[in-house]
Amino acid sequence: MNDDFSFWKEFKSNRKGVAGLIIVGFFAMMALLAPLISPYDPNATNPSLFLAPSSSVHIFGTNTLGQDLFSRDVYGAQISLIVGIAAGAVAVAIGLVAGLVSGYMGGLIDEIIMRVVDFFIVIPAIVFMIIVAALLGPSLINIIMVIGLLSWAPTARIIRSMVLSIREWPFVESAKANNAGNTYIMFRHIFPNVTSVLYGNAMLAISAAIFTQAALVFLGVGNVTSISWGEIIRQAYTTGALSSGDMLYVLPPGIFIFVLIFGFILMGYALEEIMNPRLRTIKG
Amino acid sequence: MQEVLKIENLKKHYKPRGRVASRSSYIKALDGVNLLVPEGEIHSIVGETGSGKSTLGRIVAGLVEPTEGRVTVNGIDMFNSSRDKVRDLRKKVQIIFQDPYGSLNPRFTVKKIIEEPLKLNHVEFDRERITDILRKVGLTPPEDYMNRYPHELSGGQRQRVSIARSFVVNPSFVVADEPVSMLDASMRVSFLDLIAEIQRERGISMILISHDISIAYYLSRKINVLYLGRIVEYGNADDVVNDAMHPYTKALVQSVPKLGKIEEKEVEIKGNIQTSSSSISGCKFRDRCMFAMEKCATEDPGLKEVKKDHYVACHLY
Amino acid sequence: MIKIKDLTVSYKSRTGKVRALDSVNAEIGNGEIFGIVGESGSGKSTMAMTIMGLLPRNSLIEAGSIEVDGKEIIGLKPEEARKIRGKKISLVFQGAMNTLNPLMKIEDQVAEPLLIHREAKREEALRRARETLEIIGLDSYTWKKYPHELSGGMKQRAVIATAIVMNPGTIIADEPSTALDVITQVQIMNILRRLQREMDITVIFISHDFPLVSEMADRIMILYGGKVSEVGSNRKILEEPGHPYTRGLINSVPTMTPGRRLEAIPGEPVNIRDPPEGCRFRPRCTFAGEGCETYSYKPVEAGQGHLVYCVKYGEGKNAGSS
Repeated sequence: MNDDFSFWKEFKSNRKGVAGLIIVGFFAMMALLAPLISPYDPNATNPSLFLAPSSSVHIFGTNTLGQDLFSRDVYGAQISLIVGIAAGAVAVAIGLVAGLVSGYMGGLIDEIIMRVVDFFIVIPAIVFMIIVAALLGPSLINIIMVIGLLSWAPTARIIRSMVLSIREWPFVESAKANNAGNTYIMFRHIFPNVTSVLYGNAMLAISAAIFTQAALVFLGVGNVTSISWGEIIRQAYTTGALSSGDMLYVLPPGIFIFVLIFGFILMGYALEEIMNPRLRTIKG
Repeated sequence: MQEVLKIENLKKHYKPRGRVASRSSYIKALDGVNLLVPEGEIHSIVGETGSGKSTLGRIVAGLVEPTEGRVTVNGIDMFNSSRDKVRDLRKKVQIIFQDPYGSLNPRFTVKKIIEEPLKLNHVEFDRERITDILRKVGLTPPEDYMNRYPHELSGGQRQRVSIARSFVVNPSFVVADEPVSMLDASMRVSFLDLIAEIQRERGISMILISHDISIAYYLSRKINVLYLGRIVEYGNADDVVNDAMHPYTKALVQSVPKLGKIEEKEVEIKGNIQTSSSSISGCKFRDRCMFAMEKCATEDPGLKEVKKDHYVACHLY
Repeated sequence: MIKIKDLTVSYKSRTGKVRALDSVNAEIGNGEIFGIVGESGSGKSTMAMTIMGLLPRNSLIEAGSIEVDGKEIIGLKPEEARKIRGKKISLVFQGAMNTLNPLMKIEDQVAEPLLIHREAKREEALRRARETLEIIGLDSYTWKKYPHELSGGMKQRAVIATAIVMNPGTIIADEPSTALDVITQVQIMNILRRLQREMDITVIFISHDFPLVSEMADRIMILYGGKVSEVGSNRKILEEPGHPYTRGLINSVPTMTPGRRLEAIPGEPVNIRDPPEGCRFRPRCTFAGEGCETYSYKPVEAGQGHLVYCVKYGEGKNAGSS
């Protein structure tokens, strides 16, 4: 089928989508080409350059260890994208299965899953994450898992509500009348029909995860030795750059976080508009 | 005469939603229905929304379990037999749905849709079986349709796919639930003819569920008129329509639009269908009936054979 | 009197422009029931929407005019249009009963148009609302009820009351009974008949259901694929149908007459995204032949006010009787 072709055609004509893709593409290139772009080794220290101000050689200046801030800002894209995408994927995967099972099976299983969802929506996630991350240790995998495991609940809710309506459609009944089992119906009939919201949802989950990761690092949880935007802001804060008004220390990572999140959100909206038949104008 | 479908004293009661229900406030979607469909015949179930006609169809298709009563197909009890027998039975009973949009999975191709019942029921098949049935329902040449998705088909073509799916497993019994009510008027007769043709050729027995008694008249040998879960009139299609006895049947027949201007249409009926609960004793139609008598409030009119092969549940007869 | 001339309306879509109505002409006389029959893609609802000024944003009136009592209404300024739409012409459509506000009492909803158009103060508006509800057959016990407390038929009546409370000269009923049961349908039809008979309201009755329209209308227009295929008095259309499509519709009505054979119309409704050249009905027509492919929709007058849009009409080849 030419399904992919028409998808690209529509995506290309969606302004939000194109803008989002450009933004995300920009940061992806930044992460991949970091060794080429950055003028210095981001970890190379230079005691003589203690909090050097912006200059032609260090355009954003240096930190307390004399590390080049511009290089660190460039490398920071890597962690944000890795954690964002991986944690987003974990959240969406868990949310999808939970939503499918909960919506389709109904009854007691639904009740239990939904109460768990309520729990995860109600608890102050960041506090919970700080505790769990502190207990498990701040490795990259742990941070990804903690963010992912604590942010699947909204996806589960959305998928469940879709499943509730799809399972009543006659094509599901037709399969049932022909002896189809629950697993078959859930994964053959219902799953392909909820994927449409999944893409948009995944983008939103990724953007949330990027923010959460930055927030966790800022609060001192997570791997403070690796380079990330949250960590740069935290250092700026602890060294007083924030109060002394050294904007080139704080603003670049802050803006990067904001713009990258915005890029994913734009893509999310675009995907939702393209994939969700209720939002699109009737075709064919 | 061999009966294929036999329904005895079928009841389906639903708990009213959101209320702590006592047994007496249960909604009786079906309240003691008996039905016999012999081999190779089409019988109709006619009634308004809320009459219980769709519940009946869904029970026969095995989608809903009855509260009480027995449904047998070819002598096998649909709800009290071994797992294997029930599975085998479900293969033999197929349903045609009303909605040509919702009855096909938008992510399946036509080929996949039609193959599904064969695969699910572990029937060996070849490509020819699929092309044959597509040709039979008028989707020719079949190759042009096999790889299309539902959204690439018109409403009529979708309903043809839906019909093909129901007949591809060679069912011995088919439930057609309002098969043409969502199609354009200019296509209805050709679809009814198509269904009747396949049914006749293969000797399939069928119940046709319809709100439109004129469609029931066109397609079926016998008509059952259902009102609030009970059959109020039953007989040969011609007798039920042209010699209607129950006041409700009369109203249904009168309501059918005919050709030619009418200044005012008289239908002898009051109010509208309500949900019955067991607190209503006697005849369930009496609140809407122009001829209600004292007896109607107290005594339940059973289905009686008033004329030869023509049964009515009404105290007037 | 509503005069529609050469009305052409199209929709823009991803796949290009789709013409939903193509050079449609109609004259609707005061106080008559004018029936419009058509299946999906016929343009019947587009017609209602155009008259009401309710076309969606992706639509375009390419040509034509609609005159109401001699006044052109296409291209009116919004405030001018408001004086006509809702006041002189109002609409009842298929799902209208679902547009009732669930938190408003029936009588308040019926009185609302009067308040919006500043026709009356609250007291007076309520009085007129109740009067209208009574005409429509909704007794006083329903006045203070909320929509969910009423049946579908009663809600649809309340909608009709809302449509006529402003005393419009014309009411457009677009599939007003389609979602309702057959018996309720009869009651709604009788109300529309009474409005025309007793209040002298012009009713434009639009439906896919040919026999239903033929029970209602004084004159009938049959639309097919955005084009008129036949228009004439009810009696003429039934007794001397000129277009093969009209005959097909008549012959496929299941009338429950013993021994009567129904004849199916072959094929499917035209796809207006990709209509055939010439006559739109040609691919389904048993009389199709020379000239049909180039037919320019020049009508043939089959009698007074009876127009047939078929090139074969009168040629002797399309003269079968129903």
